Amino acid sequence: MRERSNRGDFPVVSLGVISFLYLLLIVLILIFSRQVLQDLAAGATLTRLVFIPIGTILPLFLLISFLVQLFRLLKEARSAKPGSSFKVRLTMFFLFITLFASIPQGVLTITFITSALQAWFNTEMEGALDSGLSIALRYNNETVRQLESLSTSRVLAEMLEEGTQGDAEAIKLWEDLKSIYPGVSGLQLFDDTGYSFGFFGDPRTMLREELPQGPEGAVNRFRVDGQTFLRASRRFPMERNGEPVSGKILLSVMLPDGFEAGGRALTDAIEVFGQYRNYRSYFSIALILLYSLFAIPLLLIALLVAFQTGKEIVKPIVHLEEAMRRVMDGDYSIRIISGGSDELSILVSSFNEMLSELELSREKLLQTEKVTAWQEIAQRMAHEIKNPLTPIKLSAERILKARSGDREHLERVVDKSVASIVQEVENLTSMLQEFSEFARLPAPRPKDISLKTVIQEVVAIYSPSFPVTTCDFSSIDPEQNISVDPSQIKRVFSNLLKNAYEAVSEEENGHILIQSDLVRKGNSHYCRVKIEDNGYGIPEELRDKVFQPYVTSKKNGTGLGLPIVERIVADHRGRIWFETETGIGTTFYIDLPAENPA
Amino acid sequence: MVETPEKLLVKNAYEGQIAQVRFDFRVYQRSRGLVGLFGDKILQEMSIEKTGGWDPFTGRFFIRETDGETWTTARAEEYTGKLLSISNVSLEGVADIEDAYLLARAGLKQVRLRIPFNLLDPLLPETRMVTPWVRWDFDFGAIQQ
Repeated sequence: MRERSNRGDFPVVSLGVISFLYLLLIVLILIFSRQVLQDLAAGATLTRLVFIPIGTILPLFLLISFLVQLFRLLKEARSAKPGSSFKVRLTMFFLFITLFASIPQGVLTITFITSALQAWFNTEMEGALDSGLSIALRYNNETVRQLESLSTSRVLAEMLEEGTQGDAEAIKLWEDLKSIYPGVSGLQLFDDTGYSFGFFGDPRTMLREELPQGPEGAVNRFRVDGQTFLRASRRFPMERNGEPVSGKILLSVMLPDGFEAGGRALTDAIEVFGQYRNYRSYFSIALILLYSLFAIPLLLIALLVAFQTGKEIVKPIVHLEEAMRRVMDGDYSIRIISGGSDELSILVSSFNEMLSELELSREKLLQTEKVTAWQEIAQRMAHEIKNPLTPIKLSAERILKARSGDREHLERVVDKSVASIVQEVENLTSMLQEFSEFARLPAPRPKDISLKTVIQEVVAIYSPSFPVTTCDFSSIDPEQNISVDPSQIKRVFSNLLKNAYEAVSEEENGHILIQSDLVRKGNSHYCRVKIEDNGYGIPEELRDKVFQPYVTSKKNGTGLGLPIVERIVADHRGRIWFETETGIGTTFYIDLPAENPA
Repeated sequence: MVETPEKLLVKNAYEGQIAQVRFDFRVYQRSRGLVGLFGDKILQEMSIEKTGGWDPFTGRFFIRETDGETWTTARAEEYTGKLLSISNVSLEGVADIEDAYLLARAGLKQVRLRIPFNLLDPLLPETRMVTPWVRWDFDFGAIQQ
């Protein structure tokens, strides 16, 4: 038996490949999660070309496959297809297990993340961050303000008047400056051309490029070797070739180590905190969506695996059920193909072996039955042929004896004897004709016909000959069709109804009732026809052999009617049996296919 | 009350948030004949990204460009004007190509969401906007004549 491939089946290999790819994608995302999140933030090509297509197309594809499989499963379950209830149970089990595992995990994960975020991003934390930033800003602004004040102060102007006269005065200027403002980190002196003629303090604060332009006292920030400094300038009077010109000094102040980095960390933290505060209501939704992006395809994969597993498990069972049904219908040639080596495959192999042995035994039995039947038929035929031969022989002998008598007596004997011989020969011919028909019944050519029409036609033949007998077949559904060979089945009903009419012909209230019903055997539907009469019943000694040839209770019966009926019914893969009771009547039941098997 | 993007940018900057602007440029050459059915040929693609915000330590707005260059200003109008515009963009090697044209668009994220809040991007369409592609035909042939 070969499995028909159904459209819409999800091949195991495809399912395996999709599952593998999806799991691989998840593993890669987990390994490179940081990079993935950054790419998502930047809206990079990776997001557009990989995540969005995979994140939408793959789940969509899986969802469509799942819906197709679900639709087919429900259809199978509705039509009570063998194995469908098992597949439904298996799918429900997988669904339950998957949901049982994923929902609590998802709820716990999302709850944990949101709780953790709530714990981190609380009001105290926000206050602490704001206070930290406020302190840092206050320090920063104070330092800037002090540097601004110093650079624009009269004291510095007076100190510069003396401190720019020579090297010794410059050193004194630096010392005095440090004494009034210990935080100063560098002092650099420039002439009117921008040439630096003096520097004191931290070498990192020394300006090596062009002198920056800008108003006096304006504070700038600059970074050297990871350290942040503040810088302000101040003009001072000096002379060049007796002419008054303006020189310039640069004052630098170093901010504490890590001040800049700490400040940036604070502003970054405030930025993140602000985003959480503004969008926290969306965050749980985003987490649920993200979780669903991973969980739902996995759930669908699990369900598709359930469908596939169910199909794989049920397949041999369904094949076994179908094979059993075919065997019940008499087809012993069926075999189930099994490629596996699991328990079900072993069962299938055993079933095949059993069928082989059964077929062999059945063939032997049929052969034996055939020989026995023919022996019996030959004996009965010899007996039946012998019966008319005796009167023929006697008639012939009577004619011979009459030859010695007068002519009138001879003519009388010849007429009577010849009539007897002709009658017996006709009986013999009729019997041989029926036997010939029994032996050469053609294979049925079934087509759908109306049961009621056939019954109606047969009743119309016999009812005029039995006017006292009533025949009721009104309950038969006119729409009820049977798939049979019309001429053969007409012969079946003809034989049975003739027997019924004859059985009730001597009764005062002779009545025949014909009814039909629809029955199911395996996956096939049969029409069960019931023919009931209230005649004298079948004699007890004949009940076991009414379907054997040449068995009859009638005076002029050939004994081939019921064997032909049984043969035709059997050829239609049907069944015939009867119930009878002496003095009550006989009921024949016939099961005929209600639908065309093709 | 509906606030203009400029006001929102300034407000967000004062709240410590970073805005992100991205300008995309694509130069195409029109395809003719059957090849045209598959679309025009892309010759050059360029993106310029700027991020901007407020630095409380300097008391100035800052704008940082793709190449790392940082520009600062104390004036809000200058900040939004500079952030939302672009100048001196050169696309080299397309002047002598006939039938070339430019598509350009600009995208603005009023708040550049940090990890892991960037997951919210699809849920917050109001925080970002993208203009449609705008086409400009160079028509270099006409210029040379």
